[in-house]
Amino acid sequence: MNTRLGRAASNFGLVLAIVFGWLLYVEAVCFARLWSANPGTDLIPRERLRLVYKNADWVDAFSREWAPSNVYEYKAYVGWERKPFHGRAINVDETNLRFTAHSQCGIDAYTIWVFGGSTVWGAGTPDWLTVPSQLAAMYEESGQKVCVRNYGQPAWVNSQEVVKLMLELKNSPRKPDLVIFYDGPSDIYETFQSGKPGLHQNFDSMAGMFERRASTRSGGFQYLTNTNTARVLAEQNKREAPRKNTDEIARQSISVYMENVRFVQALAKEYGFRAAFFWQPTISVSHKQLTPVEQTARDAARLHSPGLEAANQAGYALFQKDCSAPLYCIVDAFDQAEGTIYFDDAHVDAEGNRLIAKKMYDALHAQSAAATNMADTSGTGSPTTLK
Amino acid sequence: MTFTSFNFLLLLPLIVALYQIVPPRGRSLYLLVVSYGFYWAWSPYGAAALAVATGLTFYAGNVVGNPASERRGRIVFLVAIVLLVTYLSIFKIAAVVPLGSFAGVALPLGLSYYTFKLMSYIIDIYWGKIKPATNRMDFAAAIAFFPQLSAGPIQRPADFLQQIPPAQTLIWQGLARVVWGLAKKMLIADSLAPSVNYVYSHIGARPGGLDGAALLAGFYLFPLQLYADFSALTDIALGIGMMFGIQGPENFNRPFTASSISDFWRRWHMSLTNWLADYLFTPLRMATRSAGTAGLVLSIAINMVAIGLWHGITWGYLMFGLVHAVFLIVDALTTRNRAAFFKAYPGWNRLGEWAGWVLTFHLVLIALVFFRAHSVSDAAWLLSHAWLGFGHAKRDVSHLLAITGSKVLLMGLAGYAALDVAERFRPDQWWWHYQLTAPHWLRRSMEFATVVSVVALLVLLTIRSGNHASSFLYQVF
Amino acid sequence: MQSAGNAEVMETLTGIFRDVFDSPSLVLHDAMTAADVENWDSLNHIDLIVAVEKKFNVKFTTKDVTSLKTVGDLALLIQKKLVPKP
Repeated sequence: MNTRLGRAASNFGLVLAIVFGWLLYVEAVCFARLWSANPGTDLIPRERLRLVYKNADWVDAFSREWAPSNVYEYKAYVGWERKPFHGRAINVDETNLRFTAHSQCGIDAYTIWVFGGSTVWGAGTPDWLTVPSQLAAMYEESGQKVCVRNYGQPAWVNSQEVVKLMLELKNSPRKPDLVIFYDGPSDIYETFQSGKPGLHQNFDSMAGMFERRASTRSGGFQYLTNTNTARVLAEQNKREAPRKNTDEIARQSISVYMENVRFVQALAKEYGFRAAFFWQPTISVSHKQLTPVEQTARDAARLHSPGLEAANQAGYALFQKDCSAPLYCIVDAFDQAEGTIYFDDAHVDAEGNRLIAKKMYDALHAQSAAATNMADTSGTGSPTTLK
Repeated sequence: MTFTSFNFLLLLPLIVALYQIVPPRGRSLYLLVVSYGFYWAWSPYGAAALAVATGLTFYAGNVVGNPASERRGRIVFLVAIVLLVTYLSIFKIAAVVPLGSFAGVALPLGLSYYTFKLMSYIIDIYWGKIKPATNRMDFAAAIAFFPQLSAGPIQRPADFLQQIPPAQTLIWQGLARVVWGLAKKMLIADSLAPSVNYVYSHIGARPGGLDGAALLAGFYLFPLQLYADFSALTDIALGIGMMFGIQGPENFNRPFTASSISDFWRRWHMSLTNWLADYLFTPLRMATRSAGTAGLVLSIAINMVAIGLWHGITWGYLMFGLVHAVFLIVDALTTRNRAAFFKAYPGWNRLGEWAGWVLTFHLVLIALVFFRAHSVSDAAWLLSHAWLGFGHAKRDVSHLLAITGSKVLLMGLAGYAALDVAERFRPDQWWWHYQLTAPHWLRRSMEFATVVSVVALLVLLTIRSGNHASSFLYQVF
Repeated sequence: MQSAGNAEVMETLTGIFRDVFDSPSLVLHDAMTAADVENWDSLNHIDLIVAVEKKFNVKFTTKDVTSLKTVGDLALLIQKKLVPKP
């Protein structure tokens, strides 16, 4: 290739080869970036678990089972639920619900359904130390038989929980006596993340996934938007989108929530159960004296999601304007606690779950006992019999 | 654009690869375009300012270097220096004092570095050390050379221009150097950063303030963090330069092995101290040489204060400079006495060397407290409260461990030693001295090992940069 | 003021160097630089210049001093300064 043209052609070919090789490199790097940004595995690192639980014998089992159990399947109407999993510390049954200890689901047991996100599901605790399990234990200790079901699913917002309640009321052979909702941070975060209230978390990325697959009508280069490179580019550009104003976020999140409360109350009247709505304490709104570990978690959250803390505070302020039943304000549940309770802004350890369960028990057990007594003495159709 | 930023990592291989095809004649133009491309991405205004400053200095250089018009040359020289110093000072001052409509204007990227390059050029011409550059593009490339843009080293334009056109690129050596720097940055500097930040944000009698051993940890760990961080930056800059066939000046020479303060400054941030020695200290000394000791003291004081304030116009940096001025003055004035003492009592030599090293190390660390603390009062508090005696030590240490974790403290203890050993043997460099005689399979294995390390580090970096920005400390100057 | 041959200048310089740098056995050569002499750095560089000025009774400008790279340059500079002006 000694001619000028020959040399130019070989140079051009070389440039093409280099650019193409570079594009492959970029794709590989973007893949690494996306693959490493998987949130689930980071959530409760083993060191954090050990720090909090010292050397409890189930910590290793939990750490081993955490990542493999963190898989989801698509579910109609609610989006996603945990896949079944069987381990020592984590058990999710074939109906996608986590195992609840101390629960006795005999024919005349008082039935409690607990809805919520990963805090109810029990991120950071084994099956027998989740909020529903500890709640059931408290009832058991007082002599009352309860059947408690853990309907918590990670990343769910209240609206998904309400839809699940609706589906269960239609399909489940067993009807609830008491339905507990435990929410707060997810509902505010959803509005914060997407800028649009009333949706679920990760709406934009899921919509993107769906719409990319859906365009198969004619030939085209849509598949390019599926590349890791395109996704990273999209993610980078999205970061410049303007954030909604804090008060807007709070107002809209609460508005959605309160409409749900109204709706659930209507269901409660029609189906004969009692509903109770709790909002969880988080680092953003808690008055607990934070330990250095918790302070680090708070600082990391501030760094990672600027503005979220303010949105949480504004939202909680609105929620706590009225703390009369069926709404319960237990944001002070950890205020007197010493030691590390929080793993991050919202997730807490077994002690935290115990304090929450205690608050719920104290608020609700008197009436549940009365309801059970009424059922026993009335002899006629009671809320606990099958409908 | 930082060296660990995701986008930079993506683009660099393309730029280096295409460079191989560009013929040597076109390479400085290529570097010029790429450098301005990076600068433009940061700020179009900044790029324009850089271009204007470069152009004006080039023009001034031609006038000053013209032997026919000496008087005109002198005037143009003075004007150029005044303008460049003013340009640099305005932004430095605006960073701390709101100057009307100038408030909030960000410090142009690499301002301190490129103005120093420009000043070095014009002063060297004025002194007759170099001839004005003949090619405008080459000169502009020397000033804007992107690996050295954000954090140096400060390469003299004459030195850069001598290497143009860069015919031979040292890709593997450069890559090895970059890997070395990235490893230092990520394994040492970033591991220490959270603890150091924590200590320095919690100094003082406020609630949650630290005492005793925790402060001591900050005292000993910050210099290691700073050194690992800054020398890593230099390694990466020099490594990338090598990939383009440009050798840059070194910035560090095992600084913590210094036996005296003056020795320390011959080993730390060398491109800056050499610049100041040539263009500030020497002229000052010449001007004050008839004033004997007073002249020496004054020159040292001005020089060290300049080093301090070069980092920023704050009381902290000023104190850093002043403290080092005092140390250096004492050192300079007692050199002869010390030499005489050790000549008279040679038995004390070993102890004297060791004591000198320990003392120098601690003096440097003391000055660095002023460098890092949020305020001078914080620095004073740390220095006066770092040692509360053995009684408190156990409580303080456990408090500290709760915050930082024992891994960090161990790293700190081992870090100094590990770095020194590694730098004595410079794995990234010694290989290249012997590789020419090494068998083919060994050479290929080393190249493969380099690639694997690069890939591993890149993966680690993408994970980190995905989660939080890992910024370099010296990139704000 | 008399002009001096290179050998004489170098001899006198050797004396000055040995004194300023406290190195009684130092031997100079034309290509020698600061890197070759222990203790020679920017701090005492001017001490050397002052001593040279005193001994040879000449005056240097900053421009003169900063262009010096080697001992040979210094010797040449001194010789230039010693040539009587017309």
